[in-house]
Amino acid sequence: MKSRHFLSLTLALSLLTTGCMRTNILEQTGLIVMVGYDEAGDGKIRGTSLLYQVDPHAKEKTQVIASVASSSKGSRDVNNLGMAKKMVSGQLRVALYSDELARKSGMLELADTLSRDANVGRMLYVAVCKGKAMDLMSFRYPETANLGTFLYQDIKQNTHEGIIPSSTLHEFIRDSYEHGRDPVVPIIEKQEKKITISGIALFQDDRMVGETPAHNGFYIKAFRDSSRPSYLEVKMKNAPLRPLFRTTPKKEETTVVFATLNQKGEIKLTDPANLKFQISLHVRAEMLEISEQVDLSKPDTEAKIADALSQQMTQELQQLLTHLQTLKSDPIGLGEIYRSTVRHSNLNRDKWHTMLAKAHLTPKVDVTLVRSGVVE
Amino acid sequence: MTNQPLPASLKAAVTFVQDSMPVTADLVVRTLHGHSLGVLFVNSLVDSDTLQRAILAPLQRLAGRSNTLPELMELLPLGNLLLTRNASEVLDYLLRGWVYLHLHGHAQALLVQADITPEKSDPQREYAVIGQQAAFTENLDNNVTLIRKLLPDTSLCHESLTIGTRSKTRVGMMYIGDVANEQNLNTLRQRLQELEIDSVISSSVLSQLIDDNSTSVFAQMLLTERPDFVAYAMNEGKIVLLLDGSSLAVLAPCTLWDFMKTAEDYNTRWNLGMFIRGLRILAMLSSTQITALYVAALTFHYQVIPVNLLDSLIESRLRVPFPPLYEALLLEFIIELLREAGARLPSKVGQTMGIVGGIVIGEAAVQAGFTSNILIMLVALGALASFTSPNYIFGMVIRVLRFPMIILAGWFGALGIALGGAFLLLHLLRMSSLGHPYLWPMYPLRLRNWREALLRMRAPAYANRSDYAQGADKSRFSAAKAKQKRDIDE
Repeated sequence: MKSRHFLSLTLALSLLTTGCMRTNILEQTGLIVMVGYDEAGDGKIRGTSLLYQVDPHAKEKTQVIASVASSSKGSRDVNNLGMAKKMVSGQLRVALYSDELARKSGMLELADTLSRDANVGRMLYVAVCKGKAMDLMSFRYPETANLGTFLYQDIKQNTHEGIIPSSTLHEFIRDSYEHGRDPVVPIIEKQEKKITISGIALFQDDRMVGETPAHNGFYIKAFRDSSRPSYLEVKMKNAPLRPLFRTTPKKEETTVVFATLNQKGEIKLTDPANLKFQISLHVRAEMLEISEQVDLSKPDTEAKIADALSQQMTQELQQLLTHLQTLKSDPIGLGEIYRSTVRHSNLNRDKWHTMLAKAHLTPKVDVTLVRSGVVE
Repeated sequence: MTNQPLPASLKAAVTFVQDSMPVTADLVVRTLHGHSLGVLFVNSLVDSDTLQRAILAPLQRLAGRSNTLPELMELLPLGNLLLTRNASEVLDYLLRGWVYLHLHGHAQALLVQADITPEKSDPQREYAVIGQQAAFTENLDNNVTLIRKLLPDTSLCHESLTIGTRSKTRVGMMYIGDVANEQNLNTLRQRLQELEIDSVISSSVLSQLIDDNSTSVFAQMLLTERPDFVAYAMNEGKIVLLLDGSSLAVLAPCTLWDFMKTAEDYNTRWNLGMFIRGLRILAMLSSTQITALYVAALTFHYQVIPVNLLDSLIESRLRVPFPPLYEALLLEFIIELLREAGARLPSKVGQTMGIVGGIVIGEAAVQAGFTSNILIMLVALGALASFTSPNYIFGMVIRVLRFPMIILAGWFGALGIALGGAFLLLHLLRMSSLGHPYLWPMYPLRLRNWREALLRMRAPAYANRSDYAQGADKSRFSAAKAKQKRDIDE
């Protein structure tokens, strides 16, 4: 009985004497939705923050504020001086890095800072932008009231149901530290009054070393992310398809669009000594569109189209892999496969990047078309 | 009991009946004509007017002439009479409110229908769409009859005692002899007998006097006004207390989950019943947390708010002058006021309360920038969820629990909610009802008993009674036979 009294007294006291936790009352905080980083010379950084504008009478939905400092947190503190509300980063959804910064000094330091902030979710999207992040963020786009939310949803839907490889902060950090894999992030570009994903940035460690069109995201994604239904448009020469056409083709190339049911990338190290990799990609898809008239009532038409597609895509994959080898960038994780098959390889990142240039990569794509529309 | 024949001697017949009906407080044995004619009946089931006018009066006028059963039949001005030699049939009919006449020396019984139709009131607090439209009245004998009508079982026991030195309230304790647990019976008997108090006016006062933990907000005995719900509970081995002058029966022992069950669950098809019960349990559990979560999210954890909600949340909160904690407390307080005012007002005026509440809260408070409309929605949702409680007192408990939860959430955010939840869970884990764990079958974990105690399943699943408060008779029917479907031509 005595101990119980003591316990309840202690509890009551602990409630009353612990003081207050630091509150963040929603409407009294400035929620940062998006940050952008630029080079500012002298090893300094210009940090730009885009915040929710919570005043319903204000004309703009968002507020953009930028400043130059030696560190990202420092720039945030400078920005805070000009704010009516305390800036907090718990709602951060997108982090933009200018391509200049990404090419010159690398992104890991800044990304690492973000990931160490307990308030920042690790599922925010990392992206590279063409030109200065500040210019891109301070422009008022007619279609979007809130650029941060817009970009977040744009990248999200394209990674979930499209062809852009997923690039959350978590994945970026992981790929930067892991031996045998490089990060990959989308490139955001402002075109006239619109903003769009224009391509995919290729990295060596945390530095951007090149880019590839968004179309190739499909191939990179197939080897990186778990398989989700996606889609792709493939252009190919008319020659292999000629027997299938009903009419003479109008253009040089035939375009096929298909939606995949699943795609599975498989990497095998066939010869560790000579670094021979067999890189195969299996795609099951339904054809949505073909630019020429073909006779789909014939039983083998689909199979022939699928063969032509396989050939064309194998070529595209070949080109992409060659491009990656020249850049010494490995977004699809060949190094990981190597490290897990060869014992005592003592692989580190630099060693792998030099090895990668010497590797022999044999790509093979096989496409199976399962349906070609409602009317059979 | 097999088809044993009735004994011829009156004395043997009376002993037989008295032995086969355990602890029935109201079996009456009258002998007339110098112990040659016995009149036996169960008092609470027999219409006393019919008994006097049409049975006892004619029989007394007969005064001592030796006669035969057919002659007796001629004499009685009643329509429904029956002659039988089967002893167990006699018992069945007695429990249905028939009067048993036995002539000494005849191994035959004359059964006369004189049963009473018990009064019942309309259920006011526990309404059911499907099921009995009956509730207990404030007359003890009548309530006993209501239960007996539902369970005319020879092992249905009914003990009477008196409580209160001044009020001398009659208490009836009913249970099914071989289903209720002996230990529970002894515990309850002891508690009732040891109660020294001047007056006990209502059954809810009584239940508070004899429960395990009188400091808790949770009741450990269930009050119900529905005879059918009582019958379901007795089949599971529970004991019922009825008080003269109270229309609420007390059920014990009870688990937390019993407070979330209704007769409706049994009356609807099993899958619908399970859905409704699940909905109710979910609603009641979430009702304590929903406002607290809002307060915690808006005060501390702005990170967890989804993008799509941010805009509307911020806009609704902009004009509100208080922090979320005070806002939520104020609104909960107003809702409680409304409920209390509605409960106190006569029903005709009560209607206007709804309108006043709707306009005052819904429109004016938001217009005046006093509260955010999202919070109003959440508080209303929480109140709505608490009203799904089939048991008014339990709904009250849920509504009261929200206040400490909200305060904890406002002080410590999600940590506070976790703390509050942990304390609540600890409290519930330590509680007992007649010595049985309150959170059973979740704790102690008895997965095998979930289907009888928590879920509502198809018939074969509850062929055996649960281990909770188990008596001698462990099975309700044969599960194997319940699974068989026989065509009519087999």
